[in-house]
Amino acid sequence: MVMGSRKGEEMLHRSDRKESDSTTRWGIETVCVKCKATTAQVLAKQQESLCWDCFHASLGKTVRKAVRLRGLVQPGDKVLVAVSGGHASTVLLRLLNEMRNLNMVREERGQIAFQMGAVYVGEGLANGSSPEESRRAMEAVSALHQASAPDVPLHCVLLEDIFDAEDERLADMGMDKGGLLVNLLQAVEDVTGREDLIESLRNALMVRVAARLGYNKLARGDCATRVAVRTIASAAKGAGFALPASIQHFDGRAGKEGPAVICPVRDLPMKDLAMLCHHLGAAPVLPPRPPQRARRKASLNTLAEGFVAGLQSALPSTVPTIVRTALKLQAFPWNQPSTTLGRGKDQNGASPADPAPASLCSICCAPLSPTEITAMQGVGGNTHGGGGIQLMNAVQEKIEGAANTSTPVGSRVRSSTGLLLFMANTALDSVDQACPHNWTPVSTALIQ
Amino acid sequence: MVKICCACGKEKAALKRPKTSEQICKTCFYAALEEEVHETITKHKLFSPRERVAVAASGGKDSTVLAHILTTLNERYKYGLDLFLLSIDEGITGYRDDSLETVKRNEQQYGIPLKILSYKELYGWTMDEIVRAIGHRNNCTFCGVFRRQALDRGAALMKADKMATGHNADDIAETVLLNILRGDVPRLGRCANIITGEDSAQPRVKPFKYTYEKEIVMYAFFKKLDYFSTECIYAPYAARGAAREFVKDLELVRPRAICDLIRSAEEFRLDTREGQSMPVAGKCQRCGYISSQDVCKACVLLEGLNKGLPNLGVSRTRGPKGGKAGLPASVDIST
Repeated sequence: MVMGSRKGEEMLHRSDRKESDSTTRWGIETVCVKCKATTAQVLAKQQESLCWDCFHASLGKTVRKAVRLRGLVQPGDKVLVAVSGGHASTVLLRLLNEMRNLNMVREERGQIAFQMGAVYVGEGLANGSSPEESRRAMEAVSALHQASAPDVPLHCVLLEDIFDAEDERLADMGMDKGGLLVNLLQAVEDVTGREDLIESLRNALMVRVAARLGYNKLARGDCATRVAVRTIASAAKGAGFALPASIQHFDGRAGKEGPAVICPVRDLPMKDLAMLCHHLGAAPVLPPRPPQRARRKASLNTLAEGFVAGLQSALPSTVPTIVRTALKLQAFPWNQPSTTLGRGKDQNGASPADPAPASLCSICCAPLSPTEITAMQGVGGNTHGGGGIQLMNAVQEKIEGAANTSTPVGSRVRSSTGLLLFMANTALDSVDQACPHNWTPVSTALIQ
Repeated sequence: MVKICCACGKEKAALKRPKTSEQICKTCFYAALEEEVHETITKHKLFSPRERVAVAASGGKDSTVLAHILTTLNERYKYGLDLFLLSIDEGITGYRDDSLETVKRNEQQYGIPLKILSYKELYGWTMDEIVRAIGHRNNCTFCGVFRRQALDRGAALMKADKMATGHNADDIAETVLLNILRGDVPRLGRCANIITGEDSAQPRVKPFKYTYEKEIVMYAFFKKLDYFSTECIYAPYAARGAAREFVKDLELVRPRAICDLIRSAEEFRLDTREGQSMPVAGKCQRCGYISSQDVCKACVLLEGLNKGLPNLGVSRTRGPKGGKAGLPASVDIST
């Protein structure tokens, strides 16, 4: 699922148009380099002139390869695809559907027998759009879904569903779910912090929906361009330690009970995905325009998006280079799929995933670095940020207290719901402090 | 309403600290900045007593403030350092000649000796002559490579134990970004180190690693320090532009993003098992200074200049049979 600001998306698309024309540069028609029969119509990966059919097949092959080598989807899996109506998730749904063997009993070469569903998270309240607008966005997404994959069930949920209706404390607060969500988001003043919180909520919600409906995989449409943007943004948030966790093909952070998150289109640039979308006639559903006031303030995420898009239009190797750099960072044990399929076996060896993750942030689920843990325990800081650390401790104690009163911390999604309930309840602006990548006072203390 | 300094609670606040957004008076600002640098120095053990330290001075804001703060702290906390200023004269008319005047005045103001080395005496070329020969493209490559070595040579000549440079937090954040953009993983791991070249004769230290550029400017401005603020006349052709602008944009949105970029670089999980990433320090076969290759970059560039082949060592193509860039493997080293 792709979250992007309108400006960033527009910039990404502008560079698409410019370069997709270049197959017919100087008025000379080129022949597709793959089939050598038809006229090339599209420039894949900025270098290969291909016809539409070969282009489609080539993207499919990349995804197939990722799925097979890393064992992302196995026979008998139930895969929930996160769709947003954007380019990446639309293509992801199509390509996964193409490699699906509908006959669960008889094996077919190159196809995998698995079940599929799709989930859409409506974020009208978070974007500040009117109920009418959010209803229309949801209708557009379901229309797009009907057109591209009518046989796949689509589950629509709302972001405010993150507040569990069955939680008895919800009733005590005398507030509906929507009110709680707005309350929570308003408590976070920092624009970047709010965007990241929305993303964390969305991810947590999708994981929960997948678990409830019995899916064991959650497929997200994170593409190469998105990975590059996330790399730059994470670096600027001080999340260098956690970065490799979120850019791998496989993410088994949720442990044995929760669904594993897979990103099969990670190696494809946004431009190629957008061009395939265009070819398939699947127009993207752009997120509703945020209100004027919110749009004026930039966040680290939108800045990183603009930075990557600007460089990419001048230097086409930007995105691949950033992705290559980021992938050289060491991933975490739970980024290793437990079992592999077919030819992938020799690659991954017999190293099953060890689902014993280190400490994860209770809000964004990012792994915490040793310095962050030390700062949280209040041992390491010796200087001017002391106040921040104390505040941090207070928050942490309250969080633990809140978590202890509810269900045992066995299910992580559950406990973070408790935390969110708590914070929305007290209107504490502690999300900034509680998440190491968006908390304000402690960061300077960490390094000094 | 008059804002009161949040540190002392008495004086009127004169400025808002860019790093922390605190309203603070001038005196408390000076104290806070100096205290932070002192902490950086003691926490990372940048200096030990009785060391002879070269302060790389260009006459610009960073090095002027560095010289000022180091002399102040040296007295206040009895570091027992033997400080001196080391300047390099690149030979850029209208830029370096004026800034050197500033450094000469600094020598008087801070009462520490100054040593000036020029490109002309080390390499036989001034930057003006180099630009005349090769044009504006890549001229910063020459200047950068030559200055790095010239500083090393100067420090060795003056028997210094360490060299302090005025790299500030913004500079390091930019370097981190540039290394990500370039895909240079080994450098990405090293670029945020506060001490570099620990195994060499003169390790380089960066006392301003966590000090924001804006605060350095404010410090120099309020203290009315004598510094030279003109940009290099060849700087418009320098390549750091995009990253620099981006860092400033980040700072505007969230001031601590600069610190966070540095922290990210420190905490990147790099694969350290492979030893191939670290080049082995050797000696240049021609000039005898530290180099990872047989012939150091400065000598390759110099040879290109002297032979009228300005692309030698600059272009990316490797020579035949693994020779150095642009330099044939069979070149006679003894010449």
